[in-house]
Amino acid sequence: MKQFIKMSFVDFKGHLGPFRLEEFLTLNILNPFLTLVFYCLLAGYTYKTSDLTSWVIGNSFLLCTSVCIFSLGIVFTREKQCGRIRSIICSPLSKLQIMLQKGFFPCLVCILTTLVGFLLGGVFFHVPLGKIHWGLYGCILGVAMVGACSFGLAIGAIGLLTDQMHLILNTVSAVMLIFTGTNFPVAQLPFWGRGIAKVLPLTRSVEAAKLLCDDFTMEQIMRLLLGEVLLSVCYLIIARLILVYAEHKAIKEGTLELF
Amino acid sequence: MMKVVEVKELQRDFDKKTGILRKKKERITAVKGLSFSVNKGEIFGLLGQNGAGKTTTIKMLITLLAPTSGTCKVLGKDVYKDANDIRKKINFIFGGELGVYRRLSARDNLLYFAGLYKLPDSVAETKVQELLELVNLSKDADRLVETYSKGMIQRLQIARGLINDPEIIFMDEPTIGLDPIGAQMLHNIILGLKEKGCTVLLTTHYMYEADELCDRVAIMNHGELIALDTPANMKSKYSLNKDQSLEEVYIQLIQYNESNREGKGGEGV
Repeated sequence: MKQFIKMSFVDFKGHLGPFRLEEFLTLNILNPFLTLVFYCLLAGYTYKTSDLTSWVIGNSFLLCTSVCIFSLGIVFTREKQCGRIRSIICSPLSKLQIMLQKGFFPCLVCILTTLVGFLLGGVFFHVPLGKIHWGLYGCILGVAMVGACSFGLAIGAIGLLTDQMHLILNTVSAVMLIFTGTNFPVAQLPFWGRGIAKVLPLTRSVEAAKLLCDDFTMEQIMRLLLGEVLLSVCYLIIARLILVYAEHKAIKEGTLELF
Repeated sequence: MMKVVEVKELQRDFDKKTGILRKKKERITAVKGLSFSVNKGEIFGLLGQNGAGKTTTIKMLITLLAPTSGTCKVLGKDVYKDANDIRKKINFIFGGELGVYRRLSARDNLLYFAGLYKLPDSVAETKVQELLELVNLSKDADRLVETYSKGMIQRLQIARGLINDPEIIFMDEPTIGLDPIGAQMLHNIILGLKEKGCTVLLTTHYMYEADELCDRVAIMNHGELIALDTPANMKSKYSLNKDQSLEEVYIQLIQYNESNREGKGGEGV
């Protein structure tokens, strides 16, 4: 475990690690927070309401997309571009372990970003923070970010097969914005839209977190959390399968180092 | 003599598709019917012009590229089917500045790669220090690689390639970017590896380097093997004048092969 964390940290430093505090604050706190403010104000004007709790919660969860989609989604593409993919592919370490190492610290950053976004947004838009069950909120946040990072890694593994990752990541990010229930209630989506929402990460966590500011039963929260955990496991399995498939296909077609 | 690399009738084609509506498929053969073997503990040189198929051959040998046809075995195992068995026993060094984490120090880079080869923490730290000293980077070990010169990055690549004490090391133009002292250092490392029983397969454009280091050299042109022998035999067999260098012999062989190809409408000799 110690070696796993050590390698994960070195990998994080090599890829995403901020070298200056202001770089970290701007990239992971200020920028996402401004996005949250934008969507909350938009919701306030659109629905003509001053109670923005639901949007603050939803959009704070969505703040993780900058790391879990845009950073993790490009992680293998960047390894390819920097000529390191050959060392990773040829190493005897399990590819699943390499993926988990790549996802561990970004997941912690996602948790921090979302938490800070929620607290700042909560103060800014007068969310009744005192009413929230913080223990449960922590569980929901942790499970949500594991799910989002697993999803990001699964998308990132496609990077071994295509050079169109920016197109894919922007599309995925827009899909998450529309279908995870952060800005539009899932119940109001068309039938096919609800289908997409069900297989996306964050949908269940956002719903669970919104319930925390409302009347909820433990059973409701646990059911949603279990669904999110199962989805995360599925995404990790999918990520592993994509990576194995992409590796074999790229080795066969000679595209492993093309970019 | 035990053969650690066996290549028979090896071929690698690349298909290229062009056009949107009228799709055209173009096939490029990078390696064509290549056959050679490398003995254990040998330093084997693969020489050839740019685009001759040297890097493609190395990529197949290090399991990064599947052969289109033919046999390609490393340590008795098939490079495509038994890739995982081969990977832990080999390593490679590619010339150039790619392949390392520029936002990490040399020490962190090596510790990370040691982790990829499952070296336990205590072993990794000693090994990393040893390698940093070997490539003369111990003084700059904790500086970020992005501040390194080209030659220093290349020396770091060499250290990375030795992290798992490989049985066979594949080097693709390893002296690119190295100054004469750095190149001499690498030559000494290669000779030291040979003494320890490690097999080295290298490609280079520097003929004096091949002459100095290699037990045998193979010359490739347009994906095909055109000559294979020891540097001394190569010089005595193909020299037109007395005391010709390997470089002169190499140029003669390539030119002869090119003129034969032209005579045969681009086909190999």
